[in-house]
Amino acid sequence: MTAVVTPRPTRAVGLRSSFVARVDWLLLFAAAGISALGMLMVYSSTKAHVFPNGSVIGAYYVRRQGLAFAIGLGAAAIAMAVDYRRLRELWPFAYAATLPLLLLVRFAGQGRGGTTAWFNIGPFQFQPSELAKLVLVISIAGYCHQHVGELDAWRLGVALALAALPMGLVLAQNDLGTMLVMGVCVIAVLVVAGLRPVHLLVLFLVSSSVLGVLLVSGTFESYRLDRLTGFLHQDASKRTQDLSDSEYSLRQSQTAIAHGGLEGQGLYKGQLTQLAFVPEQHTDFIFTAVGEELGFGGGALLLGLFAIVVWRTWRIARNADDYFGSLVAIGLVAMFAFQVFENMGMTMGMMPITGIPLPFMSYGGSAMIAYWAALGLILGIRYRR
Amino acid sequence: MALFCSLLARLWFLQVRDSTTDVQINSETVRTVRTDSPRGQILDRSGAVVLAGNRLVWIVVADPTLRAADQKSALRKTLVPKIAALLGEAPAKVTHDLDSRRNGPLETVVLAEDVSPSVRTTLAERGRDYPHIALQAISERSYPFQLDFAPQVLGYTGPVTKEDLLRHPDLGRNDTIGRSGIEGVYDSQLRGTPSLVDVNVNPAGVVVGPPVHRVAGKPGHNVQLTIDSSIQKSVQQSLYAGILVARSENDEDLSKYTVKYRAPAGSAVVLDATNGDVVAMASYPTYDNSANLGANYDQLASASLHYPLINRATSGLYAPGSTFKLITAQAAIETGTRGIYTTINDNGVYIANSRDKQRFASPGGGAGTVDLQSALTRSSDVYFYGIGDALWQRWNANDLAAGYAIQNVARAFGFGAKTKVDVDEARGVVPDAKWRADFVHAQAKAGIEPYKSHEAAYKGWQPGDNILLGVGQGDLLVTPLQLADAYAAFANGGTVWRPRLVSKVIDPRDGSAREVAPQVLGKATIPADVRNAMLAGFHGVVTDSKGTAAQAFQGFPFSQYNVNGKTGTAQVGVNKKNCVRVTAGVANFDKCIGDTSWFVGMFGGSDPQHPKYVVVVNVEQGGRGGRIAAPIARQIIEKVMRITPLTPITQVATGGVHP
Repeated sequence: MTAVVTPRPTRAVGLRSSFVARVDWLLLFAAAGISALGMLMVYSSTKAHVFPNGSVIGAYYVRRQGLAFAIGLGAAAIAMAVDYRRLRELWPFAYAATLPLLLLVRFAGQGRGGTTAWFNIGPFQFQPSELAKLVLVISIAGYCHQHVGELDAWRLGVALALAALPMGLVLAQNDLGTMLVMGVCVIAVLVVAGLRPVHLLVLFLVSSSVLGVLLVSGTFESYRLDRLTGFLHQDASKRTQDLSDSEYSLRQSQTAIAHGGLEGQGLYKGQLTQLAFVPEQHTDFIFTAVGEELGFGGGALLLGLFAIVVWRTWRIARNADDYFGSLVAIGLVAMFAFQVFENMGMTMGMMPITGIPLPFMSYGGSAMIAYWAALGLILGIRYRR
Repeated sequence: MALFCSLLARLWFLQVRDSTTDVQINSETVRTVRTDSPRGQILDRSGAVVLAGNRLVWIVVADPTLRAADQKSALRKTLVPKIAALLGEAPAKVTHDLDSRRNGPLETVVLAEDVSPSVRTTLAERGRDYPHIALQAISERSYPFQLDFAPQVLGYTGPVTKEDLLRHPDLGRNDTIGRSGIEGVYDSQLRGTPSLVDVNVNPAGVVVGPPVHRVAGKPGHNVQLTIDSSIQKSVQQSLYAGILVARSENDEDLSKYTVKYRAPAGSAVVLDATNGDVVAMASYPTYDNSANLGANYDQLASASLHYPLINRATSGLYAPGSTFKLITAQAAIETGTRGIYTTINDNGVYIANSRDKQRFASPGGGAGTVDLQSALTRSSDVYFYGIGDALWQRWNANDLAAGYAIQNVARAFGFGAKTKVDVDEARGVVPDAKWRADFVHAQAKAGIEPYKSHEAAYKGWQPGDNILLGVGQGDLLVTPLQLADAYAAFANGGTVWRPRLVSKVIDPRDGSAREVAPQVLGKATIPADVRNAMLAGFHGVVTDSKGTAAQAFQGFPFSQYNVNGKTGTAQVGVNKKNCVRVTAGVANFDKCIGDTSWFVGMFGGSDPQHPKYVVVVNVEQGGRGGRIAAPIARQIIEKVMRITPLTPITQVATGGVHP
């Protein structure tokens, strides 16, 4: 990472007002690098596979991902160009607009594996929950900004209610993973916004007991619990045919990563990747393709890029001119960090299997556009310091 | 940052420390497709006649998709009746085959084998109407020269069993393995190695992309036999014809009743005495090599068909009868028991020199005054009884070298030991006091006879034992091949050869051959004067008017072709005269076992003193050697010497007096 020259504001005092100096290029290039690598891995992990009708996938997925990347860059440009400070007042409209989408998708949406998460719009899909994560971070940040220094129990309750509504709707889509991400973001924003330690403790106890009740009450079908807990009892002696779906995913995922070794099998040369041995490899398990084909070197490089993204966003959060900008950036740092940790941890058997994509990387248009919009927002916060 | 560090650490542990090996990955992603290489051919002596080869057989197979489909699925409902109609089978049978679990779920299953040309045409031309089934050509072992051609020598093949797979891990589950005969002994050379193509498969087991690794197969090597296909064919015919003649003849021992010989079985061997090559080896009853041995095995291995799977030439154990006088004669001269020209008066009965003065009658009556040569020509039993008796006295006097002279000469000529021929064989028995003691012990252990102390058992070696041994009876057991090999040693001047069935193993790709050299098992010393007298005696057997096979060889062109021989008529039933059971005036002959009919011939070659070929003919329960075995041998000799036309066996198989 040392090779990348960082335009430090302190050294570029004379250029303070120029566009070039006010953009966090390192953050932008790190994120773009992740997306580019993501497209390469989406291509590698799908090109040789076939659709259920037997035709070869080839470049189909990577083209759509490229289109989403382009739209995402556009969304980032807009998010950066428009002054984020206007969201201080406008967030309730965004919030109000998101709820019906989440409600509608529960009943009119499409899904897979028990979830109903997206709308089909012509040849494209739109997944409102990805947008909802971003909107929720902005909304909680906006609410906290309006009540800065006055976050008493009542206001905290309002903030939590604001958070609970979209989270509940996401949960209703059976998308536990996204709900967890939202929860983590909300807590991160609240903590920075001045949550009292007592409240934090209460919040922690309440949320963990709610989660506990959800898990044991039978709200989720057993396979979901199985996915969550499968990583705790991996049994290497089990024969492949005796594994449950999630155990199979977990074993194949770790086998593929382990197959990479230090140097990797080489791009397009990962046997398990090319032969579709890892389920959902171009989406949630995209990291296994990196692991098998690019090895420890590639995996460490990717981790480094994510570390840059998190570090720069964290820096922007700390250095932001206004409180609202800080809170938004903090919420997004939490989102990136948690998703990266959960997703990669899942592929390596450290974390439960939840359907959380790897930011900027996993195949999926809505997520790609939402992350890039979020990145645009962050760059905008930096830009207007 | 702690989160990222923990991810990095985990990545390091997973990828670098506990890295998965390619072997583990390949076990999931790579499947090996085996294609058998053609099995090598078995060729005759000339190398031009294919005795065992491969035949293309068309089969119809169903693919895994059709197999995996549910019985009630539309695919099955439309296709199964169509396929059944095409193959002329019941739909239930097709369904049963499809659902059979013998093959794995991803493998094809055979629906019909050796399908008719019309089915082939239909599938070739209208294959689109029959999706999910396909025509496939497979290679099947075939015996194109003649179905019952030396089946006991060629042997047979069969599908591999679980035990085979444990013993030969390189075999495939659907492979064929040689089970007996040359097919069995030379299996590893004949089998070749399969071609192995590694392909990538996806988790559903479907092949993806081009093969990733190929190992080319090697065709099996061809095995060239020493057997002459033309002579073998003729030998089999002569043997069968001779057995039929025997079955039409009356048993001379039961002349009171008019009973035909049973003659259930027999064998014939032709050896090249100069190198041990097996020119022909026939065993009757025989069977068709093409027959489905697996399905018919129980029948083929049953007593009712007289065990056609057994190669009687190598595994049949018999008393050699008078043919064994080859050995006794040499023991007599060697020990000084008889001089070459010493004469004996054979009046038909020998009284043993023992306390009980046991009588040994000559079944053929007295031969008059005989010396070594004429004793062989006329097959005088009394001449040889006396030798066995005298040598027993020497044994009893602790002169073991002389006392065991017959046994020692017999062993020097290969009796009592395996000949090391390529196919399964029996060892035989050359009895002596020790053998008798061991035998008695074994019998006692098995509860068959009451136990005797070792001393008593040892003393069990009585004069009668050695007297009967002298004429090839008693406890002596030989195989026809051992007998042929012993006479071959006499014919060539003393070299005992390993009978050779395979001359070369040939790589069909470049024709390079590995020779299987003739191998000397041992050397026997035969003094020239003894040999001359004995050979003259053997010559007289076929040429002298008093020779035991003179009848069978009447009219033979001796002036052009050199033939010598010896007959044998070995008793099997001990108490023959009393074997008939008469109940309610009906005679029952079940307990009667006829004599084993033998003839050994030494003939051919440019040197009359060293005949090139040896022929042995054996017919179980066939009567006198001169009457049944000799005419068969004559035809075989004529065939080998290319004397035409062959003399019909019925024409010469009558008359003669001596055994």
